[in-house]
Amino acid sequence: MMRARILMTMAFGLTYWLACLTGCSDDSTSAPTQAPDCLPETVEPLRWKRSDALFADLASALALDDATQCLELSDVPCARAHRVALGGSAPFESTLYVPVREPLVITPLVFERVVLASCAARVDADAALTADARAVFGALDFEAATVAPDAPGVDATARLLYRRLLGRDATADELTHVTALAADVDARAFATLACFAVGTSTEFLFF
Amino acid sequence: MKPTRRDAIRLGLVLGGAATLAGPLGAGRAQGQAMGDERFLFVVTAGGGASIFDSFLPIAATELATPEQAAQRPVYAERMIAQPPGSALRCVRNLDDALANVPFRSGYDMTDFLATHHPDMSVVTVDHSSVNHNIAQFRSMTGNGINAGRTITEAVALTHGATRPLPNCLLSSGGFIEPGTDRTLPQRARGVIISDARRFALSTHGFRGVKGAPAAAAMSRARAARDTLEAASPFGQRFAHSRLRRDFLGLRAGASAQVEGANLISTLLLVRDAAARGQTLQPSPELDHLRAHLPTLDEDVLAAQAALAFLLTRHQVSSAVTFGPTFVPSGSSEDSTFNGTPLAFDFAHVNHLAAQNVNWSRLMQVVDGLISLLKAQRWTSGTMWDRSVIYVATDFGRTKEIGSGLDLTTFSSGHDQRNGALLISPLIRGNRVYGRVDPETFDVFGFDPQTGAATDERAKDTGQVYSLIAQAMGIDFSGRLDAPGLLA
Repeated sequence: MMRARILMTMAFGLTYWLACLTGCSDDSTSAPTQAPDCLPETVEPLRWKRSDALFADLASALALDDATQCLELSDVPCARAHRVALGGSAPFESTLYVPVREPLVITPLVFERVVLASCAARVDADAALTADARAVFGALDFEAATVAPDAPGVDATARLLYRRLLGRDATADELTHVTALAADVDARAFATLACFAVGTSTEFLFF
Repeated sequence: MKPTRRDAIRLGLVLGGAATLAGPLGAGRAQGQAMGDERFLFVVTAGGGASIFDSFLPIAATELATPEQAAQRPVYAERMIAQPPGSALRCVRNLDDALANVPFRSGYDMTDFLATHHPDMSVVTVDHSSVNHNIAQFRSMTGNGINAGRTITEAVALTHGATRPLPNCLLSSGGFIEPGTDRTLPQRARGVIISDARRFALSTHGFRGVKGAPAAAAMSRARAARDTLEAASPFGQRFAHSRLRRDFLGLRAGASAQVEGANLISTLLLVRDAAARGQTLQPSPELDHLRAHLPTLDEDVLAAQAALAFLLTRHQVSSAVTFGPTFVPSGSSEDSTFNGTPLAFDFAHVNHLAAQNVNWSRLMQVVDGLISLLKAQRWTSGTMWDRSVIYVATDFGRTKEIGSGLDLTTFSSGHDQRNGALLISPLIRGNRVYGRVDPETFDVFGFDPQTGAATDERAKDTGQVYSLIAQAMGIDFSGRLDAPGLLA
């Protein structure tokens, strides 16, 4: 056991020394979508946006507050119900001082629930307001029985969701896929589905 | 060609990996071996320091040389100890009437538990290796690292939970729910922490029961669109090499989808009035059946945990479930009633007798309900109980000195390594104490693994208990402390 540890330590020390000698590659011809050559592929480039940060970003993006954002069974805030699965600590409830290291099996499902609940809450709130007073879905006609991908407001709604949730403009390809959800549904359902599709992307969960 | 930094690091990892293979992760370590039959493990965590000498290995005052010595030790008058007919084990009776200074009561008598379950009960003496709560709890689950750092529930999940969507579920707290230290353990065997037993079902579906959720068909379309966007987005292309992202997408498409597909949201919800809250969900159709065996289900979160543990195993979701009280007080603020004590068994720092008697009673009442559920549930052959092990795990014992001017009902205790573990299972030769305790000093001694007879050697740490459970569960590993004389 000791011998193995010594060998391992020597191997990693040699690695560090060689890395310092060789330095980053100055190869500037790599495609921009690949990781820089000077970063080894084993270095994780992303971080998990955990419970408190996730709910804060959702609240900000969808103009919600704690009372309206997400409730389970109408009475338990999602932030409390799903705190551990979304990467939060639970020092009082579970003596869990250190949150789970990586997403659990149930994390993708819980992530979908809280985003969906938040999106639906925003849609509900906006539906009760006049178009010019709505926080997110002002471009949609909630009175229309159905919508279509090319209906007024659908494209603008998709663009706004990308800006509010992901902080960037959508590509043309992305807009095509999101607006396609406006088929065989009413405006409220499209708003919820589009918000869900963008909000449950890994781009919103990792940074 | 000039070597890049990436090439250098790859070389180092290869060298490091070669060195690693020579160590504990190499070929010398045996893999878990599965038996033909499935097994279930229920770890009931008696958090805070549950003393076996205040439950199922009590020492009578008459066993000490003088009354003066007995007055200085947590020993019991004969009238406080019960030994039901046919039982080789003893227990402390319900002492609610003796608890004059605290507002906590149990109402359940461990005598009833012992009378019913003594054929399947074993007490194993343990000399714990830590008096720190989190460390000791963790070591109770890992056997102090005897199986390369794997917790016993991870080992069970790996062996028996290959086809289960959530093979290892953790409803407890503290060190009991920490992951093991074996980084090679497959992700699927790692524990899923469940902080709310009653509402856990909601975590098993991505949209059912969410207020304002569109119809299922529309949700499927949205998911499909989202999955297409994942690959098409600049973010997805930029970070295609991210292991964190790749693993998450793998979970989403694989294990998470399996969990959702099992329709657990319809079978595990333990909130009685879910339908009345304007949602489309119904509580578990087995709620009445559960309540019949766990009558405190609606009032006591511990009973709710046991109910969920039963449902998770009965519906082939899990192979190992860990549950137990946390340090947070449980009860009703409306009528000021408590379930157990604050700080669970660690309330012994305030009043030892109340903490031990009330919490052991509460625990065993719930375990009795769980066993009755398992006995009533048919399985491929026999019942679920025939293939189950219940391990009452705890941090450590309590100190054994009663200070001057105090007595059994008023003294408080600290942490102490000398203790014992309770195992309940038809897979282990029951109605026995394995090891012994010196009534004068409370020192604990071990047992002969071939015969089970007590020896003069100091009791082993939690690695012995871990090994015994592993044997009963058909789990083999290098370094296992075999005790064939203890198996049924």
